[in-house]
Amino acid sequence: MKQSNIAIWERQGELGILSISNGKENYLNNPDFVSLDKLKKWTSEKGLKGIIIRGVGRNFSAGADIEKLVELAKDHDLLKDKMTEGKKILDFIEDLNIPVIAAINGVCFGGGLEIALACHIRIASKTALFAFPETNHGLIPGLGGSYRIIQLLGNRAKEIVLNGDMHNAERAYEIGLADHISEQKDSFELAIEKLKSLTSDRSIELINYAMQAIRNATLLEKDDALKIETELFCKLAVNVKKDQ
Amino acid sequence: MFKVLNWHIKDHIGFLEINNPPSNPMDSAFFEEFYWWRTEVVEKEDIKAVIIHGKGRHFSSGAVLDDLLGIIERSHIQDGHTDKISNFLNKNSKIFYSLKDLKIPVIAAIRGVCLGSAFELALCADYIVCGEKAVLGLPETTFGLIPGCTGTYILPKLVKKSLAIELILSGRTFSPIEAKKWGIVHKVTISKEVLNLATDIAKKVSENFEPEFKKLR
Repeated sequence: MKQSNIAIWERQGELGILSISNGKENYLNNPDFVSLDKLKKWTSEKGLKGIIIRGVGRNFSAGADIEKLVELAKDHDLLKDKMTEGKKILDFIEDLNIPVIAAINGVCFGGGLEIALACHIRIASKTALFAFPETNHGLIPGLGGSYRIIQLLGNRAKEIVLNGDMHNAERAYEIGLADHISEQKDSFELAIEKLKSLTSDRSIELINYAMQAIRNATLLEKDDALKIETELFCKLAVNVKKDQ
Repeated sequence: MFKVLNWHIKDHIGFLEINNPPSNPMDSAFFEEFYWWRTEVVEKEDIKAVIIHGKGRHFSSGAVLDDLLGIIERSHIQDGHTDKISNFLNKNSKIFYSLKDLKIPVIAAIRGVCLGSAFELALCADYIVCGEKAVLGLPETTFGLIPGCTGTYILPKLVKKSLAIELILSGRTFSPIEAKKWGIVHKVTISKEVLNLATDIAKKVSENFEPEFKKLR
C-alpha cells in the first residue's frame, strides 16, 4: 500500500486500485489529489493491466471543499498552477493505455465527477449521486469536466453542467453517464469483475494496442487511424504465430 | 464473374452475396474479389442501393485466421519487419471503409454469425438489418489480436468510447437486440424476413437519399 496526497495505491494481482481517502466525503482540498510523478510511477509497475479508481468508505468524492477553494483562490497564481496540475493528472489517466474503471458509491460531485469522467468506464452503485454543483457557486467545472461530459453526452450534458442538479444512478445510467449499475451496495465488486473480463488472459501488449487504436479513432484522421490499426494487428499476429 | 461473391441486380438494387457456405469465411479470394467489385463494378451499375448478405444461414464468420497469420508470418520472416505486409493489408481496411464513399445507401442484411472482419464490413454499411438469432461481435482479442479491418476506428464513432472498449477488449459476442439498443443495428426481424426487409428498406431509403447521411461524426 502506497500513499500520495489523498490517494492510496494498492495492487490486486494484475490490477491496481487507486482510492481517494479524505474523511467521510473524500473532499478534494486540492485539484492534485495524487502527485503526478507518483501516479506515473505506480501505473508503470510491472504486470499492471487495469486500474480501478474509487473512494474509501461510502462516497466516491464530494469534490472541492468550497471554503478551502475560496481560500486557495486568494492566491491566483497558486490556484492556476494547482488547476493546471489537476488537469494534467486527469489527462494522464484518460490517456493511459490500460482500462481505467471508476467504481462509484455515494456522492460523485464536482471534482469527483471530473475524475470519474477521465476514467474509461463508470460503474455506479444504486445509491450513487452525480452532480456538477459548480454553477451554484458561480463557477464551472475547471479540470476539463465540461469538455469531457459534452464529448460523452452531447446536448444532454447541458442539464448537468448548467443547472447543477443532482442525478441518481438510474438517471445517470439512462443518459449514459454511468455505464453499469451495480446490484450490490458497493460497486467495487462489479468493477473488479468487469475489469478482469477485459484484461485476464490478455497480454499487456494486446491491451495497450487495443486502447491505443480506440483512442486513435478520436485523435487521428481516418487514414492514419486505419493505417496504425493494421500495423498493430500485424505486430500482434507475429506474436500469436510464435506462440502457436 | 466471381467465385466467392455473387453479384446480381434486381429492380435497381444490387445484391452482393458472400458465397462460401456454410459459414462464408473471408479468405484471400474474398478480399481480392471484394476489391475488384468495389473498384471496377459497383459504381458502373445503374443501381440505387446495395445490399450485402451471406449465402445460406450465416452472414460470415470473418477472416480466415490461419491464412492471415501465415501471410503475416512469411512476410515478417522475409523482411524482418511487418511494414510491407501491413501496407498490403491496409488496402482491405480502405476498401471496406470506401463503402462510405459510394453515393448510394449500403445495407448489411445479417443472418446467423457475423463476426470479426465480417462485422467490420457490416459496420461500414449505412444501415444494418439483423435476424433475431444473429450473433455479432469482434472476438479478435480472445485470439491475441485486435480488430484489424476498421473496427477499432468505426465502433468508437458509433457507440460511446466506454462501450467500444468493453466490446473490443472483452471480445464478447452480442445479440441484435443489444446492438439495436446501442444504435449499431437499425432493424431486427425474424431470420427468413431479413432479405425482404432489407429490400424494402433499400427501396425506401434510396428515395431522396443524401450522401451526407453516410458520414460518421
